[in-house]
Amino acid sequence: MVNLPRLGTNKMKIIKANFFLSILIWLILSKNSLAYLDPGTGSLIIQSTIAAVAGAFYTIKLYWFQIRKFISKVLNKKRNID
Amino acid sequence: MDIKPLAASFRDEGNFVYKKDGIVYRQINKGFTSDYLSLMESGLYDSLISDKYIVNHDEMPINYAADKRSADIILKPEQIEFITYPYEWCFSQLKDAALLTLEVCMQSIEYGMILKDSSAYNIQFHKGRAIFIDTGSFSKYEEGGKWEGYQQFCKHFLSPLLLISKVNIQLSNLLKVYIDGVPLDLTSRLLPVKSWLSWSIFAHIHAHSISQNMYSDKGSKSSSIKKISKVGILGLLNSLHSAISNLQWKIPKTEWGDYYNNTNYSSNSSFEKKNIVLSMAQKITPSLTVDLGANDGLYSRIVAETGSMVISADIDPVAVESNYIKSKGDTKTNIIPIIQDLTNPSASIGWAHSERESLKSRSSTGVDLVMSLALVHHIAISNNVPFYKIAQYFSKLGEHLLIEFIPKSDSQVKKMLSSRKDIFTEYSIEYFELEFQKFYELMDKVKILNSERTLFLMKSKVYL
Repeated sequence: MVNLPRLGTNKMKIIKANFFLSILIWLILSKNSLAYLDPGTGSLIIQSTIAAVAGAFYTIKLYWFQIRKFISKVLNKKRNID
Repeated sequence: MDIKPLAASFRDEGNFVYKKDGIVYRQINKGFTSDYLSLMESGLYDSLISDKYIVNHDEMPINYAADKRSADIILKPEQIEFITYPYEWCFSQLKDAALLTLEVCMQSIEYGMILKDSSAYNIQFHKGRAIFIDTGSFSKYEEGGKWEGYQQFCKHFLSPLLLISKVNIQLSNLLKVYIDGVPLDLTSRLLPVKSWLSWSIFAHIHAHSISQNMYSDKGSKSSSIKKISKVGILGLLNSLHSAISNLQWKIPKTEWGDYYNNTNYSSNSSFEKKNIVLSMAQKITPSLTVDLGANDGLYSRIVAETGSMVISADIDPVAVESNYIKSKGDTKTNIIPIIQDLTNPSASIGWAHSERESLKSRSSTGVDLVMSLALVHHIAISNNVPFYKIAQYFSKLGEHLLIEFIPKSDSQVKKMLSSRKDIFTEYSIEYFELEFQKFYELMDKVKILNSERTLFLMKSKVYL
């Protein structure tokens, strides 16, 4: 069996880190209000941002194992033929 | 014909829950039935029932309605014998309730529906496991729409679970003060700095809290909020699910965690105490028992084996956690562990002091047996509560009482008195019996062999 890199590899970690550093910078640079009259709007806005990222990770997770299995099969077949 | 709307069920104009002649029903009003019909016809209800995720229900004729003018459909759900609240649950109970909420929501999306809200009060513990009780909480899902329950989920579930796991177990008490969940800015402030390095904590708590503060004084223009794809919602739910699944609570060594290894029983007397408890319980054949100071449920289990449902209450979250882990998945006995401080038990809170009931008003069918083993000396000595007042309170909690008296000669009590002035001149078995008989009739009294302790079985003169 060929060992393919898993999801938690360094590359994935770097992508995650870069992403959330940029969100952090964006948030810090934006103006900040402390009034707590209506938390609903802020929740909706962050939800769409997080959902976009989480959706991407989720899709990769769903298809990652299928891709891995497929590539393993192909490479194993090649080995058997050799 | 006695109809009582449930004090906690008033925020949804489409449906509400009430009691009629002691049975709980749900009324769905005219004009608000399409979501319920989708729930039933889409296959979602059947799928949730087969997974045992939701309470089942029967549809009833319209004459069962609370308000016939507005009623369209009446449901009679599976009855929950004893309601417990999220602020009474141990870490794993709250975690299981959170994961169940997410699983119900994820399954709903597969059938074109979604949860309108994700309140922790939508979950109850029933027959040893968490179950979703709010049949009126489903609405049709249209791709592009947001999940309305997201903020509530973060406050009711994610915040307290993170605070317990990463800061301190005592913070679960925040749910008593913040009955709509712990505010995110408070959670963000209390979590340690290294929580900023976790993607999910950063996103769902820190960034979420900052975003809330930033936009709190701006109205939202719906056009300015981007549409969220179905994969996005599923990704969001999945992210919350992994974050919570991975949470562990490192169990601290509390004074009670190791209790049963450190008591002063010879193994003979422990065996005998178990037998006495069992035979006293068998004399009563209770349907509902409340075991106070139950620790990890050792004696609750004995009573539960007679067929009684047992509410197993203790002040120590470690003991309750241990009890819950043991009783999870045990289909033979029906035990619900909860955290209770008997010197400050759950009070009536929420809107109009009645949304969430106090401990003593909780049971609809009545408490048959209250157990108080190895407990009274703590209340009487460590807390200075006179026997009279203890008897007065216990006599209103349940019809019978199984109570253990531990005299001053016992080593545990000696330890308690060693660090304080002995002002308890009236602490004796004779005085105990005298005071308790003002509220109870004595049914049985047995001294435990090879120990100084005595078990009593009594019947309340004042329990309704």
